[in-house]
Amino acid sequence: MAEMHNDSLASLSRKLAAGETTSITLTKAFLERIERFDPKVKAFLRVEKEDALAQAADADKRRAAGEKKPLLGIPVAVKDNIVIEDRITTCASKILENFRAPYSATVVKKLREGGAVLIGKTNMDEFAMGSSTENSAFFTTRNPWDIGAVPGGSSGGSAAAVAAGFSPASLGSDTGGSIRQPASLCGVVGLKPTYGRISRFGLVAFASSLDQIGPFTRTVEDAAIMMNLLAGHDPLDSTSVDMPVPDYTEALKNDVKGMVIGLPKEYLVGGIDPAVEAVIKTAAERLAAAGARIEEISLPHTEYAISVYYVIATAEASSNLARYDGVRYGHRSKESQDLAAMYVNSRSEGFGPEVKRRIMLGTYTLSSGYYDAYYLKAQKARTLILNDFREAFKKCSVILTPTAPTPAFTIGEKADNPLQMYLSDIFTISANLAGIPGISVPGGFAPNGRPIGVQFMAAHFDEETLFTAAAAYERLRDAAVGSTFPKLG
Amino acid sequence: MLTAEEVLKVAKLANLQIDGREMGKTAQDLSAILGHIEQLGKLDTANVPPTSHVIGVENVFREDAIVARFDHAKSLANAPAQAKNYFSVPRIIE
Repeated sequence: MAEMHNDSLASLSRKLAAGETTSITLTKAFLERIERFDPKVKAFLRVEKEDALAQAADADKRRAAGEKKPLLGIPVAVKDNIVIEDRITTCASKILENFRAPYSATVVKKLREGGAVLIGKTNMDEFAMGSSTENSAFFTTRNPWDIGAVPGGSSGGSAAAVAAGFSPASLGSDTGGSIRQPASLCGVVGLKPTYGRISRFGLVAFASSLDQIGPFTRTVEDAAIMMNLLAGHDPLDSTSVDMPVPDYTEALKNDVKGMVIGLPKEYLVGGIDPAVEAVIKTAAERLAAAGARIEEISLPHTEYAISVYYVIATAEASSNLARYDGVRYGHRSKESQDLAAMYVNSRSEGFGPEVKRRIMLGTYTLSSGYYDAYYLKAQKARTLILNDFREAFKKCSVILTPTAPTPAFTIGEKADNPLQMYLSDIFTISANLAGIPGISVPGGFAPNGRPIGVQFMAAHFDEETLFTAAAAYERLRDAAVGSTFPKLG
Repeated sequence: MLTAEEVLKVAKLANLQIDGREMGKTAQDLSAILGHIEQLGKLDTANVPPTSHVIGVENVFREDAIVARFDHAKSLANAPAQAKNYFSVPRIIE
């Protein structure tokens, strides 16, 4: 089983199909690795060992009966804001500490139908609000490349799990960069699909006009395999779009010769780490050498994205999180004599500081007298950002940018300054505001050994072009420097 | 800078309690973020329509059919308190 933990999903899938290994063997190997190293990385909130082994046995039975699905028998980790029936889902919040979901998310049902082995739930920033997992009510996840650094967030546990070789794939959610930023910081692939491409039924809502579920994997091919399973319309999510799902792995075969790749001038400005800038320049050079045409483009409203995001996301959060009142589920304060006090006490005891901050910010901007100045203004500015991308995609097929302005920061470095933390999402937020797909692919390393990712964005529902560019870049990177893995001991 | 009174008003609207120790930091953090957001005032959006849905999906309909999802027991399984197959809360009317 040596080094199986660094294998891609595609490679493990081939080994399973060829009878070189079984899901039981594979699942045991990953569980052992988790047992050995997760006390150090802390990617998981809960590991479902017995359940995972039962699913693995079932997957082996299904294979023996002739099933041949790509994920059959493959361990997958799930972010703890995606519900699995009869299992605990906490969103890394005290307010949901004992919440057992009465149903499963559509993505979970799809993973089960595909034969994946769900091995556990991963840590995150509370209610997906944060960029480091430091806002988890339980503990901070460590970056497998450097135990002193954050893994990014909010899906930091899912990113760290794949980077550490605890599972070949995991699910995350991305509202302002929560898949792509931790993917960049942990040196793995992370994809946020087009708004509406994957059902969000069973994803605990944060900001409903922005939230998307997406995969973390080790390779671009693996992300395409995951998308083949996850994408598609769901009657239970009225925002999911009824469009045919192509075979995304077909798009990996195309090359970038003649493809126009836009490099937005607004993204390579002050404040970005020199190592990040160098990785992007090298990426552009390699793609150009492979026949792509690199064109400078402009996304003129980029500087407003963070402001627009923090008005819209917090307004939607203040509304979505009003449901946590201690009545039907979640924490109920024992201190309360009357109903009104029960609401206030349950919420005040159950939510952490960042969640309270965002609920209050959203409540403020939606409150009487401020709606036009903040929320309506932000919705209009959002149109300008969307139009920037519409214009850009008339000139290019994909856009190349850094994923995050810096490599992973040290634990505690930004924890006391929320605005500073928000600015770390500067390159990922626009894709959520515009609803377009974006992918982060490992690009290189900072001098201190922390990974740096490269982001590609494409037009609505054009994940295929995204995969073509990302896979081509990955091949060029591998040819130049190969891929490396973190050493945990 | 938000005043303590403004912070208390927002907290009340949000059903949250901010105690004395948290007040200074909360007012400071919210003010810093609102200060950053002020930049939106520079944008001319007089003739720009607001975006509420990026793909433009609207009015999604389905058949108004009853579908059994889960029963009372399952619905009540997470209830902090329950009585006679209902959620139970502190008395509202004496």
